[in-house]
Parts: sequence; structure tokens; C-alpha cells
Amino acid sequence: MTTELTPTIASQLALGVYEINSGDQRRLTAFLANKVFAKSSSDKTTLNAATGGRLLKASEDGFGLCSKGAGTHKNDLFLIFRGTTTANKKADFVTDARIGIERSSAGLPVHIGFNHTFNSMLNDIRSFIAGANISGSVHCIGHSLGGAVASLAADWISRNTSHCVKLYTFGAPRVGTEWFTKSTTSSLGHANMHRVYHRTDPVPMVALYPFMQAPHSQAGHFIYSSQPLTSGAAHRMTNYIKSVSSKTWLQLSGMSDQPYNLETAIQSWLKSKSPVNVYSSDFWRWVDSALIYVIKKVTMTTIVGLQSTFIGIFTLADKIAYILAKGIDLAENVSIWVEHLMRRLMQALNMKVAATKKELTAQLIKQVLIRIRDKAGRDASNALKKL
Amino acid sequence: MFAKRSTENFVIFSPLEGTLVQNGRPLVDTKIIRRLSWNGNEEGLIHEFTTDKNGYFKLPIYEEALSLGILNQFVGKADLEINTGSENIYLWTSSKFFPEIFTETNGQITDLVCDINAEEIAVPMGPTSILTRCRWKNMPK
Repeated sequence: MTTELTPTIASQLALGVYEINSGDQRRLTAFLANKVFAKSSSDKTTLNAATGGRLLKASEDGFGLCSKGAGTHKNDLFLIFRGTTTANKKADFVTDARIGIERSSAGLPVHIGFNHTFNSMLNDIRSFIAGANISGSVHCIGHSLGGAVASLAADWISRNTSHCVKLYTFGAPRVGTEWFTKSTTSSLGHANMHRVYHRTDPVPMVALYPFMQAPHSQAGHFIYSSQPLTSGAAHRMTNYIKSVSSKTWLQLSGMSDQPYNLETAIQSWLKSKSPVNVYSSDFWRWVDSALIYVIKKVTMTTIVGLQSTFIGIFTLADKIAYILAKGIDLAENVSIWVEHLMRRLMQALNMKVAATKKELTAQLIKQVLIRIRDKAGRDASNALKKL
Repeated sequence: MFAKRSTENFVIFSPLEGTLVQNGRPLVDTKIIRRLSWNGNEEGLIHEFTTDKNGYFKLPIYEEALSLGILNQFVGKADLEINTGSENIYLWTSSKFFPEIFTETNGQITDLVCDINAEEIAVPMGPTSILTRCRWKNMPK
């Protein structure tokens, strides 16, 4: 029998884990006093992640914990990861910014920084699970960066153990490419993946394509906001707690999002001549959908292999620019969409919009992609710097 | 996409008043040490307060204007201790995740009595618990 956490409990655990830091034993005790956790200290361990860039600030810090459950969760295991704090001299920001793609232990293309952080905890996770002797579910929980690491942990556990894995993320950034999102959705089962995000939270919108959100082709638990603009407040775990309080997962599934994946809606957005607002959450969702739409249109017509293209020594901006530049040279029914996309992006950047296809060189396309990436991440400590 | 950092007022510690006792008898002129820390000030601050002739103490609010990046979750930490001469005794350990007043205790608490010989218990407060030797009216179980 599987026991699912309520949104309230999952969100409280995702928030409470933030107090665990810098070897503060009393706060670890306070957090683990929660009734969902087993009481014996041998049933718990903290995970120390090597956060920070490989070549930059390396830092050891408390990052998450494993615990056996108690009560209705006595046969379960909890893995809870925290997001970013300033407690470790901002090294976590470096982790957030290390955007590039490498293969996960399952061979899937994922974010280098998140993968590195997860791998640094993998031995502890592996040995804890092996010694835990549980028959129930494994609950992987996290907010923000912690949600990204929880996603990788859930993926690994679902592939390497026979346990039912349940994933609960709040405002998590994107972890991998479409190949990863499809594969992890299949491995965990979309019913076991609870992705909660506010409409105006900017973090789940990054990194831009080719990174995508899991579960694949599912909206997740979208929380509507009447505010049109992205805001830092929408990312706060404290606000997620308020949004999900006393609700069921079913109640959180009822909201329908904009038709970002609908071909005709994407085409309308691309063709529109109305001004764009780069501070609007809608804008970034449309940019992402449009990038996916146009790149797929180009790659379906050429021999460019899409997924494998994103792994290698060139930057993602180089690779996407290469694909789009190829598209410019294709037939009108494809090249027109590349033109529309570049026009919308240049408009958002207040750049002089290219008048002809000839002006859209690979170099210019790359420049636009880099500028749009920088615009997306400017105030998040270069969160998208390695695109 | 990411809004600029703005400065926001955070209550690091909400006001707390009560009586300090030992086996039910007031501890007079006893020093209570308050240690506070939060994002960006991990070393923290130390304040000292003294109980009156009835063992009564009143710890004031402490606030900071903080400019946290959107990826940083606010955590304010508070520890209350007394030193008996031979040992340090923790009266209270709490964490605070919301900027507003009284959010670490889910509302203002009243009739607070802290007995240094009482068993330390964990009082559930949603995301975490308060570790304390104090008891108060309508204390969650």
C-alpha cells in the first residue's frame, strides 16, 4: 500500500528543511521531531552536498536529509532537500548558474549543476536506502534547487530500487531535456509526480529550452495568480505553503493553464505584432513554447539530431543558433517561423528587428539568444550564464 | 524575468514575555541570553536580559530590513539560554520562515512559564518544532 503525503505536509517539510544548515544539531532535532519521522537517530542521516562550481567556490554544507517514517508512514522513507540559502557563502548560487548538460547516471541529458549536487550525495542516499529495510514508498521532496535535486533522486531511486517513489516539488527549475522528462515520467509514473508552481514564479521557467519540466506533457499543479508579472514573492516557499494549505492534490489539479502547447496558439503569438512585456510570466512561457515549436519544425525537416545535439563542447546558445540558422535556409513554410521567432525576441530586447532573412545570420541569432538568456537571468546571479 | 531585489522588513524575533522559574519558584535577577541569526548574518547577535524580582522577563521584538535574492528562503533563528554558573541551559530554540510578527509561534503566546528543571519538549509549529522547557496557554501538542 502506498501512502501519499498531503500538499500541506509536503510543503511544510519542504520549508522546514531550510533550517538545517551549518551543523546546527538543535535545529536538526527540532525538524526531525515532526510526527512523520521515526524517532530513532539511527533512522536518520543528513546529506552533505558539495555545492558550488567545480572550479569555483567549493563548499560543504547541509543540504538535505534521509529519514525513515513513523505512524502511517512507518514503512516509508523520506528524502528532503533544501533550496538555496546564503548560509554557505552563496555557493548555491554558483550551483544554480552552472547550466550545461551532461548525462545522468541513467544516461539521460540533465543540468550539470543539479547532477553534480545530486551525485555528491548519491553514496549516502544509496547506503541509507540499502540499510533502511522499508517496504513502503520513498518520498522525495524539495523546493527550488532542492526540488531539482529531489527530481534526480526520485529518478535514480525509481530505476535502482523496487520501491514506489513519490516526488513533491515546489517552484523547481527544469532539470533535463525532453529525453529526461519523458523517461523519468515513465519511470516514476505521472500520478506519483506532484509539481507545484505559481503562475508568476520565474524559477520553474528556467532554464529555457532545451530544458523542460516533468512530468512530460502534464501541466502539474498550476496555481493561478491574477498578477501578470513574474515576482520573487511567487517563488517563496512560504507563499507555496499558503497556496496549498488544506487543499488536496485533486483540488490543486483543477486549474487550467494557458494553451502554451497548442500549435495554433503558438503560431498566433509568433505572428502577433503586439508589444511584448518581458516582465510578464506569460511572455517567458510563450518564448519557451515558441522556441520548442520552431526548433522542432526545423529539425523535422533537416537531419539535425535534436537530443544528442545538446551534449558536447559547444554552448547551448551555439547549438540552438546553428539549428535556427539552418531553418532560415529552408523552405518558406519553415523559415517564416524562424523569422517570426527572431522578430519577437529582438522586439523584446529593443533591438532593431531584422528586415530580411539575409540579415538573420547564425552570429546574429546567437547574439539574440545570449541576450534573451541574460535578460531572463540578469537578477538571479547569472542563473542562466552557461546556456 | 527575475524581479530586482527589494528590501523587506523581517521580524527576526517576535516579542516574548513570561516568568522564569526553577521547580516553580521565580528565578530573580537571572540573565537570559538571546542569540539571533538569519540569512546573511550567520554569526548572529547576542542580547542579554535580566529577570525582575518576580522572575518576569520581557524580550523585545528584533527586526531587520533585508534584501534577499528570490532564490533565498528566509530563516531566522533564535535561542534563549541561561547560564547557571556550571552549565548553559537552553530554554528555547525556534526557527522562523515568515517575515511577519509571531509567525514562529503561530500567534502571540500568553502565560509563558519557563522552568529550567522542566523536561525539554518539541512543540510542533508546522514546518518545524520549537525545542523548549517553557509551557504556555493553548500550547500545541
